Amino acid sequence: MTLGRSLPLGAIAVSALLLLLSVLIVLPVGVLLLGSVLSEAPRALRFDWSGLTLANYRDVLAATGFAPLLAATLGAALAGTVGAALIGASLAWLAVRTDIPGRRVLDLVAVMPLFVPPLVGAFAWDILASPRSGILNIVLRAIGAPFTLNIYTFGGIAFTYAIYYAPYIYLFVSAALRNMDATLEEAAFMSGAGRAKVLLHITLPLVAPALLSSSLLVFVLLIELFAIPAVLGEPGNLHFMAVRIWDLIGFTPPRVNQASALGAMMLVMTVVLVMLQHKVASRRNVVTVAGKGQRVRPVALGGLRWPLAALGFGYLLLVVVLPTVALLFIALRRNIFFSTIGAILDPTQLSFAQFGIAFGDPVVVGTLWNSLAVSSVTMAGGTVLYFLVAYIVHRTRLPGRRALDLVTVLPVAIPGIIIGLGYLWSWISLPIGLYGTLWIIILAYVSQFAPQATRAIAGSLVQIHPELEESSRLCGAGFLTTLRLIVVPLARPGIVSAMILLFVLSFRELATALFLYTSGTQLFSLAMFDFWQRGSTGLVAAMALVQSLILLVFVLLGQALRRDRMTDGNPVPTAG
Amino acid sequence: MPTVKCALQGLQKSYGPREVVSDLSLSVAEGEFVVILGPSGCGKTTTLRMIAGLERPDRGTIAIDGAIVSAPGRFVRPEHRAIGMVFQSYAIWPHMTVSENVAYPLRVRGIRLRERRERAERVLDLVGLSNEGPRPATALSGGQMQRVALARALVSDPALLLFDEPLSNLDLKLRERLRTELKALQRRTGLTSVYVTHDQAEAVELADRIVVMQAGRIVQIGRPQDLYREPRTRFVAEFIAAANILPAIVLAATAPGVAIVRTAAGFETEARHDIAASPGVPVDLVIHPEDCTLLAPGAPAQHCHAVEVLGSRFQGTGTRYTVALHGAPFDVLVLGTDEPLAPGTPASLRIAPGRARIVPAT
Ligand SMILES: Nc1ncnc2c1ncn2[C@@H]1O[C@H](COP(=O)(O)OP(=O)(O)OP(=O)(O)O)[C@@H](O)[C@H]1O
Ligand SMILES: [Mg+2]
Repeated sequence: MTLGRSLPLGAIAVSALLLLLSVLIVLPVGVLLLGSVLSEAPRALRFDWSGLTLANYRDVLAATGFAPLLAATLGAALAGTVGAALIGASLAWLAVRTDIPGRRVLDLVAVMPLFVPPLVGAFAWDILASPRSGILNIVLRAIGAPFTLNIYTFGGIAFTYAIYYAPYIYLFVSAALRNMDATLEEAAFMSGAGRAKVLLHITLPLVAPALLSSSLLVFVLLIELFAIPAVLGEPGNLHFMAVRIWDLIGFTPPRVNQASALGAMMLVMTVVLVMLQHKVASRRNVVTVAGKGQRVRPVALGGLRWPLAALGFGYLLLVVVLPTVALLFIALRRNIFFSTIGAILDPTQLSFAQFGIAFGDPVVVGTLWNSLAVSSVTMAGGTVLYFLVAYIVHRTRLPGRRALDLVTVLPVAIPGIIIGLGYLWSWISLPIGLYGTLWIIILAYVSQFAPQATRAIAGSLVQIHPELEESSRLCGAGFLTTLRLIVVPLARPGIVSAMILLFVLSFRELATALFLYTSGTQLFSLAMFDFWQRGSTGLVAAMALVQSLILLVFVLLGQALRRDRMTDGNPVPTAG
Repeated sequence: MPTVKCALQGLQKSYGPREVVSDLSLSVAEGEFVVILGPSGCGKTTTLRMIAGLERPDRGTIAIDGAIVSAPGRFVRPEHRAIGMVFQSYAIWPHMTVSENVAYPLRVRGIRLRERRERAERVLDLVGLSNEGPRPATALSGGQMQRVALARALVSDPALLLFDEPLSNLDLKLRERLRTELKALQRRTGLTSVYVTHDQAEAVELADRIVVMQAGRIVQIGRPQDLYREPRTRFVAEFIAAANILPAIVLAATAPGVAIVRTAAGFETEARHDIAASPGVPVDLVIHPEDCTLLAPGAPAQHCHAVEVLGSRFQGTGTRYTVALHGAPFDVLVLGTDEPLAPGTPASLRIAPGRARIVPAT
């Protein structure tokens, strides 16, 4: 593929993209790191070097409660990761390798929680299992159970982490199980090993790399998570790093340099973990790849079939059905105060009033339009930008493409709250009018979701045989014509995936925008969080349902678009 | 003297430190079918891609119809070279129908829809795919895709046709049929073609001239018969056909281009050559199994040598014997379906006169 080399503007394009991505991604993080060792907040990218100090780090470390803060953040993330790994790996094995009833359905719905924003999940579990008024607790009390649930605890938060992040593990492990050469298992059976031994000695070690690498990824995501600890941690007086960063900025006067120092510590953790994850993920296990697509007899579960199916679908009950029911219940009530089963079932309470209040409020409607605008522009701009990046990285031999690749994967290791903070300090006082507009939020989102968008597009691009492009050139089409008529149509599944990801991730994002909005540029998820803090639970439930519905519609629309009319059902013979 | 359609002069190409094409010069005459033949990794595809404009040579020039398309400081992009190419993977675009694929070169040249349709229809007829136009390209079989790729390469009346192992993904039967069709089509259209393969049977059948490549260099160019009867190196002899190659020493030169040699096992014969064959020079003696036959023992004919059958392999159209010639194994191909001679049977080996050849020892 020397097509890229004959592109006269190739070098200019690479330089321009590198510069753009550096400003978008590297600069904000750099400003934040600098801010963490200065005594004054940077203004208009001018730094007061006389205030060079380590005092911010000292203050953060010496503050009372730092040890519990670190322990809660890492502990809950670790416990949540272990839980997610257990749930995700078991579900994957059940759905892919056993004869459990309903395995196809299980496979379809196991990833559904991915589309539930963590904020919405946190609201739902707040409604379900808050110690006093949680619906589940009311039911438990009514049936005379000797215990109640409390979601505002370490265990409650780790539980919420585990159920909402299990689908990430599921995705990786189920893919590994599908690619696994099942004759390796059969050989173990023939050697006289029983089901449990085969699972333990053969299957588990073979999927271990996928399990480990996805667990590390989930661990990183949980360390940087803001929404769930902010909703469920504070009531129980449990504090987490991301929430503390937000608190520090909320002080008057804001302690920005300390917040930056705390952010820098968090960044060190996530960067190290992501590097570790990268190492694990790149250690490919060649043995597990089957040469032929042979269909393998699934493991027979025997008498355990139905109990295990009940467990598998029980997970879906916890993570999809119960929360949705809880949100619907609260959103469709006139009065959100209730303490008995009788009050819960009172039909006169049924009303659409909350939806009326929410969407009769011009502020809420305004935030919805803002969010739709931000997500649409993020989607459009991000798709074009990362298509160019993915094309240059994967389809040309232009010098500088590796650097481009590196810059676009960096945000994997940068927590959203840190991107937000970095953007704040980079742009707040620059007189270019960016701060206070939706554009700064859009730019932050475009930066934050670079890895997901680029990976989705690259996944499709690398499957296009280079000769498909080269033959177009020999047919007389120039570079741009080939891009338009051949490459883009063939990469459509990846491009559509990137569009869905950019829209969904930006629409549900909370932490990144926390520091970037002003009164005119509030977003829907920010408004939800705001209402929840003020105790308007019914309103929040109605808004959460609307948000989930919008995301669901968008995802379904995207999936319909993704399906390619020509290649559907037929393997693309030219892809080999 | 036919006009030169495509001329390569001193082409050189490296990937990093590896030189994969070295000082390659070749000229292809108008209407000629040239096959580049060589083992895997010898630089055939790289050479073809340089002609196409998909790779830039590090050194050397390429001219098509007398116009320089590639030279230091000058590079005409592939889309401006008027070349049709059939790729090994077919490179049929899966998001288009058959006729959209075929008409694509016309579409990007801005030709109107009606003319596009007509011309696509015409070439589809030519390659035997009438009425397949509206089908989605992915619904075709491998052989049909091959024809679509060919139709697409032909549709814009290219100056030159390039093929990169276009038949290697097909099964044997289909490969043979398409080979015949391809040759007939090329005769009919008179299109100058350069065809890359590592399959000598394909090369021998298709080529007006074969270019044998080894490790990035051309080792011999010639008509298939010339390469077969007059290989210049042991590599060519081995690659063109599975010949008997016996280490030997020149005993005497009898006439210009003819010498008497003796193999290591002590077998003596007269052999042709075009090297400096003075007595004592070590050489390799090349004798094709097809130029030999086995007769009843003691046959009084000239050019006969007493041998003993060591083993045989039945090959459908004939039997390939391994016999002991002065104690050393020697292959003979006997055509026909006679019951094979048992091992240990004595026989008389006859080598057709004037067919033994010597090449420099390796
Ligand atoms: N893009 C590339 N980068 C590095 N090395 C390459 C590249 N393309 C080809 N090569 C190397 O150059 C050598 C020649 O490759 P080429 O494809 O021309 O061989 P070939 O004769 O067509 O072989 P085959 O019969 O296997 O197709 C090979 O060793 C190959 O590994
Ligand atoms: Mg090749």
